[in-house]
Amino acid sequence: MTYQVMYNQNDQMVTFTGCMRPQTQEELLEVNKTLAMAAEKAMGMLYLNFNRLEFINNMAFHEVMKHIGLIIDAKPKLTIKIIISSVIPWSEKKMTWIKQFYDRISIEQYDNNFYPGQEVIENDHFIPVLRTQTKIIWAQEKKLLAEHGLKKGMSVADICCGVGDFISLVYQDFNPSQIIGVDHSKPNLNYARRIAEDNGLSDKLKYHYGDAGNLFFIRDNEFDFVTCRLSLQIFDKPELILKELHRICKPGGKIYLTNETYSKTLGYPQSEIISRTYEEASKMFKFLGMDLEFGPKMNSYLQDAHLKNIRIDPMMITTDSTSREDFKVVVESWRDYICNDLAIANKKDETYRKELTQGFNSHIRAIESKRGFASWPIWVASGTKS
Amino acid sequence: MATSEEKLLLSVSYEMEKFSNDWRHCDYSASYLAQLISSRATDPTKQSIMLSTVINELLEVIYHLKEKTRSLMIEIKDSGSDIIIDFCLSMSEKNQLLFNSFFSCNDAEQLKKVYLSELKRVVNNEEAHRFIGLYEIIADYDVQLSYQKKPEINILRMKLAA
Repeated sequence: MTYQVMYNQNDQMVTFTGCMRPQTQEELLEVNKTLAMAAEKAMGMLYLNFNRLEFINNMAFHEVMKHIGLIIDAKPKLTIKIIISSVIPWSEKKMTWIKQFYDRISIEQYDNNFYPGQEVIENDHFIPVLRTQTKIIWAQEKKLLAEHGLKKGMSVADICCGVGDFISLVYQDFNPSQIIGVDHSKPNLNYARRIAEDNGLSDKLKYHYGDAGNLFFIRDNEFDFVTCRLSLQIFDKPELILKELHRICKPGGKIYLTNETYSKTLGYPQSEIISRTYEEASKMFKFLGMDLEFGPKMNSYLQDAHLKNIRIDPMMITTDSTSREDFKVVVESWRDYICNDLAIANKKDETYRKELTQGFNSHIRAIESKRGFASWPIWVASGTKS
Repeated sequence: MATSEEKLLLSVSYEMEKFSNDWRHCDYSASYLAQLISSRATDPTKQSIMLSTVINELLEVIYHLKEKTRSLMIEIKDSGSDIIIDFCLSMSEKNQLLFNSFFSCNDAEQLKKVYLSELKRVVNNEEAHRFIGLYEIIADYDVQLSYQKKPEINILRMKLAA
């Protein structure tokens, strides 16, 4: 494996990727040249991005450090921001040393500002939401997975795996040859690993802490079936995630997505109040950079990703398709999360939150009542990598 | 040889002449061994990257020794709480003296200070200590390094929390 270094003039960013373990300084001529050019052209702030550089040895680190020193000396008006990732353990340790020697250097941990709604999604209050959702979806999703091409014995990667319930269910029902989950939320992963251990499946279900937009630890063309469920909708740049899903999928393999049209979650009676509630909730997610109306957009995104045999199916979770009790638990978890964490993140006042809570409670009553009806629309899409 | 508390997981032997012929052997070996050791870890990716980093530094030091010893043996052991990696090779007297000198200080805080001063030398374009990589892995990764001389064999031991 070797390294690449590139300068993007628009972003004023030098990005390092791959593995940088040279034996001699001569092997780093490209680095020196690129850094010199970047320093020449950049104004104000120069970004040095290491979050895709998997390995670096001390020979390379020392050269980079010296070159940073040269830039600092030669360009007194330039500051340098070093971007690192907690997924790559050496980066924080090494780069912290650089700060000791030079002024005008700051370090940004990329994962702390990974996507706009990160703080709201990656906390353990979101876990009950994830658990209850998977439970009511599975009966329908299992059939759709098979229809979208998941077969026994395939190798499966679930990107943005959450708390791992989906992986456990796929393992149970589809007996994959290999299955991994990747997520960026430490609470989710801790939970997933605990569940796997409790069920004696730690050897079978492998969870990795990682960035869905930078799955450097997964080789190209690795998996038969790559899933990313109810997740593209939370990223402000879903095309970057899709690019990685495409890369790690085998030629002839499938990429499988699910996303919502959350504002179209319905209930009767009190359908107007219920509709308004979900429209408001969807707006609040939007305010944080998440698009919970992403479902219908999957068709164009999959086409842009050059996938073939694109298939889209509705998966309508209703009071007919699932148990009312389970559906109620899902809506309760939404209510608790949205009327608290999400509303607070949206700076909504007490009155607003109270009204929203009443809207969710109306939905819950519609679910509880035998004469009532409720539905939650999810869209399922897949395409084949050629 | 593993003690009763240490379980031998893997032993890898290299012909030193062939190992020393190609720099990339350091990277390939470090990554391969790191992935093997980390396969059952809670976070295999993160541990594998960390292990590959520290193993590679030690292999690069060994590479630069240019020992004409016949073989390099790497033994990976598990003591329950720690991962132990022994690098076993015979060394010239000159290299043994270097290691004796390096390991004469075993105070972790002192070693961190030495690492910092070696980095300052790098920044000032001066030549750093040839074992700066070892100072780094002790300072940054809480790796315990030790050196033992036995008849005909020298063992560099790397110990880190599992």
